[in-house]
Amino acid sequence: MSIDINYVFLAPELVVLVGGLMVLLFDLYFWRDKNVPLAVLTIATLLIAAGLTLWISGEEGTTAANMLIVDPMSIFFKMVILVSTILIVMLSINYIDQLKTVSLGEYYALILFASAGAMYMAATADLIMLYIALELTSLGSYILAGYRKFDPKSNEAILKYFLLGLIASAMMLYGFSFIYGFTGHTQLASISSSLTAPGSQVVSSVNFAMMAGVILALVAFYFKIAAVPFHQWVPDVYEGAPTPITAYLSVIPKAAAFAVMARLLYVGFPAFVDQWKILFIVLSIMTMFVGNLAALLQTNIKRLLGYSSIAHAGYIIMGFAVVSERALSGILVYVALYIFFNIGAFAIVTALSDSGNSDTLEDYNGLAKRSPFLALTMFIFLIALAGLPPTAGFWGKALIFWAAIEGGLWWLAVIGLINTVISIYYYINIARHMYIVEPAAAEDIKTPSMFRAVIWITVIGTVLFGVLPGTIIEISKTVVKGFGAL
Amino acid sequence: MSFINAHILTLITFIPLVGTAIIIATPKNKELAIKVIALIATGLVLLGSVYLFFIFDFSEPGFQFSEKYKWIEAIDANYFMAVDGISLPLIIVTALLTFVCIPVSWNYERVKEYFGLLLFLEVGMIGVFMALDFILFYVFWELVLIPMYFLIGIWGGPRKEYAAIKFFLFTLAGGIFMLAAILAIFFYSGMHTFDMLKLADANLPIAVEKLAFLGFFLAFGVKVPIIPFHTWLPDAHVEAPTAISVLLAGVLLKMGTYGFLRVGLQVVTDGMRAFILLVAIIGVISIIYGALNAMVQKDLKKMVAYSSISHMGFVMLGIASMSVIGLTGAVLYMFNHGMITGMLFITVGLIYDRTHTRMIEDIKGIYISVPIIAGIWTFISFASLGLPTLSGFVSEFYVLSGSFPVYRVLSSIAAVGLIITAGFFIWTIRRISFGTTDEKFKMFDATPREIFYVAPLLILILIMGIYPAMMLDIINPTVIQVVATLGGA
Repeated sequence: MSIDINYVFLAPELVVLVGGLMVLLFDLYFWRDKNVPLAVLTIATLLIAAGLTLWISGEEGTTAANMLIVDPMSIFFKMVILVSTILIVMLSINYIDQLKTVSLGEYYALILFASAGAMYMAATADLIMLYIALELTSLGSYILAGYRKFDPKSNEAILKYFLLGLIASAMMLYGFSFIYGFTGHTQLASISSSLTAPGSQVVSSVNFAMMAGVILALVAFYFKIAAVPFHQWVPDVYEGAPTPITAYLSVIPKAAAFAVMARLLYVGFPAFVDQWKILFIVLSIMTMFVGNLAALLQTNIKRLLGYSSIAHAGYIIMGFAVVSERALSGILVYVALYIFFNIGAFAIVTALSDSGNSDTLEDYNGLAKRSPFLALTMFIFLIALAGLPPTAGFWGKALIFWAAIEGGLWWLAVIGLINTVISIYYYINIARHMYIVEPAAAEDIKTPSMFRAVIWITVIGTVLFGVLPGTIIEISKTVVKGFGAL
Repeated sequence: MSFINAHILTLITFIPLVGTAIIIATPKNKELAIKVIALIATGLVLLGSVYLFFIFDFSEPGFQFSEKYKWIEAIDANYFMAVDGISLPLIIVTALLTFVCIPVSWNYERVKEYFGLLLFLEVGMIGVFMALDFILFYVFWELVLIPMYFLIGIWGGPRKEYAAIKFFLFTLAGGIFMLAAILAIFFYSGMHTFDMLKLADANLPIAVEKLAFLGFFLAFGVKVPIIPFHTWLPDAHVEAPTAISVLLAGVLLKMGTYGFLRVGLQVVTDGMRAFILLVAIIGVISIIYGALNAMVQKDLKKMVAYSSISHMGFVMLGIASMSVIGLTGAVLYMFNHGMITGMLFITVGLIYDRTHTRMIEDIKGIYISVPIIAGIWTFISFASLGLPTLSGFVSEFYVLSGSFPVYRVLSSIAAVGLIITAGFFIWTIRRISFGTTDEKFKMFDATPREIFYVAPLLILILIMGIYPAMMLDIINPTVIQVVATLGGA
């Protein structure tokens, strides 16, 4: 049996991996701890990968013995991952100088490896490959979370993240063993067809055990997106990790996990749709409420944004509870636009902590006077996070709530809307600190140029897609069309 | 000229946004330049809306100057703006009050931020009255909240933060239910459009219409505000600076009643009809409750705030009558009340600037110390309590004569509200006008700047009292058409 490998389809990930290795080598031999050249190399790698991804975007097919799939869905998430990784790397350039950790090259290389893993996650339809991809992205993120190695909080972060992540992975593997045991397949499409085949015993007789397998398999991804009750690691890890990495964790593993969930559910287990609908309804309600209510109590902005990202996962999960094209396209729009305002908000947090402030809300007092630019852009990001028009944050939410109403889950949409109101309180509270409370320190805050660049890109994205979301919604609709069992 | 005529609505709506952009680009210390920019921008809007008034075809009851472009094709949302006899008066009053608010707030601090936000606020306020696409309407509706939050929260009084967040959360919570209602209508109509006019003809199941109306009811009701969602209003008014109170009472409250007229009556007609008695009863409760509360207030501004709640009750009653006269009265009431309440808040501001207190018992003898301001206060009080020849009377008369044939008992109770209103206004005039002013107050009469922004409103109130046909000719044809489509109730 010959293994059929289409190298063109593999190219984007390969470029990222090779780029990561090159960063390591260049760091070792030519540019020892030279920040800017290494960052430029990293960004160039990502840009090439993005270009290649776009280049193959019209095609569909599989490669590496059906382990990896190229279809609009995987292309979409790969682009989301690549764009946000570029933003994170740009965000790191000014920040990383003050980390005083020995190796810069490893930092950038790890980001590339973790992103490559995330891209594989988005593209895989095979349980074995899925596990490898998940571990590739996880191991990179674990180390990055602990990158401030002289800071006890960062050490706490890596330990918590690592141990809990391992448990989640183990549960997932356990679930995979159930699935493989009952169906005899590791490929999602084969699993699905063996579940729905006429005379299949799996659904009818061993329904419960198979269901347990599906639930266990999803655990690792619940952990990645921090759905309640798998969210406990979030506040400590978000607080302890270097801020650009916090932004990384809040976007890239999540996007990849949502891609995997879409594929697992829609391609792999459409036979269990009635069961996982209920599961996701419960998870969504818990995640929204816990995330939003806990965020109300936070005084540290990184923890606050951590809980807010939990709540956002809750809104997105709602899209999985409603099985429809609009729900899935809502999820895509949400994830794609979320990167802008979420990374934007973290960029401001990074810029502030970089200029010698800490991450408490008190440090945002009177920011409007100390840096009108940071305050105004932060405010736009907050409005977007809260999901108010005319910002990008509105559309993902509106589409998902809309899908819920269409799907007969209007009460779930109302719960989501109530949660939106709760969330307004803590977002606007940050705005209150920035604009209404008088500043404690008077000196102006200087923002290094790369922070400015990231903030400009993200703020333009937030506003532009807020006013004209047509393109992205259109793209998401074509991606969703004909995906899985829809 | 044809370009202007074809895009007049877009121009009016987005000129302030251009103003905001210019102000953001202007250095912080050039305060005078910023003020002038704000004055020019709002002035252009006012000119535009007056021009709109003159080119408006009075004989045409439907929508005019419509502009419709594809906006977000993927979800069938359009950029669709148009005006009819219901929205035009509100656009004019919005433009006028915003323009007046620039000189009112001439001496506020943090000039750049203030005027930037004020112009941004105007975009939302005017847009709401023009948008005929639900998504666009919702966007403008929420657009108002953000600048308002800061305008109260930064430039407000001692409890500004509490008042600002209360206003924000109340109205946002209401607005969210509107979003749910909009999406529900879209889905159940099956028409793949957010166009209000098309959805008005949609054949919705009655249960959906009822639920959707309740969603809208929460959104609009909070904004009006009707009892029991009114508690944000006194707080917001007391803490807000004068100019913001003017806009809050003069324009933002009308967004709620306008919503009932446009969406409630015209889109979810059957849903509204099912709850029409509730609307009328709540209207009457607001009238009486607001008036009684106004009577016991010690704070002059709070008194005016509660009188607003009472007056908005009349608008609700007029809408609930669903008759030509009642609805005409409701629209006219919104127009007149915008100016009268705006003037009341401005005058309270004038008095406060001098006495630095708003406690009615501390302000005495303004007839002797500041006769012009006292005269303005008396004039405007009478307009508000509905003295014939002033504009308040005409609209009150229309509302009551429209609602009486429909709700005899309720209208009779509402008429009692008129007496209470007259009572507390006249009582207040007596308390603050007579006696001798405390020595410690530095009393000086109205300055030319103050007269400049007070005079147009006063003249218009008088003209509208003597010759209300100016507005009625616009309002009436549209209302007749709306009532005709309501059909056999």
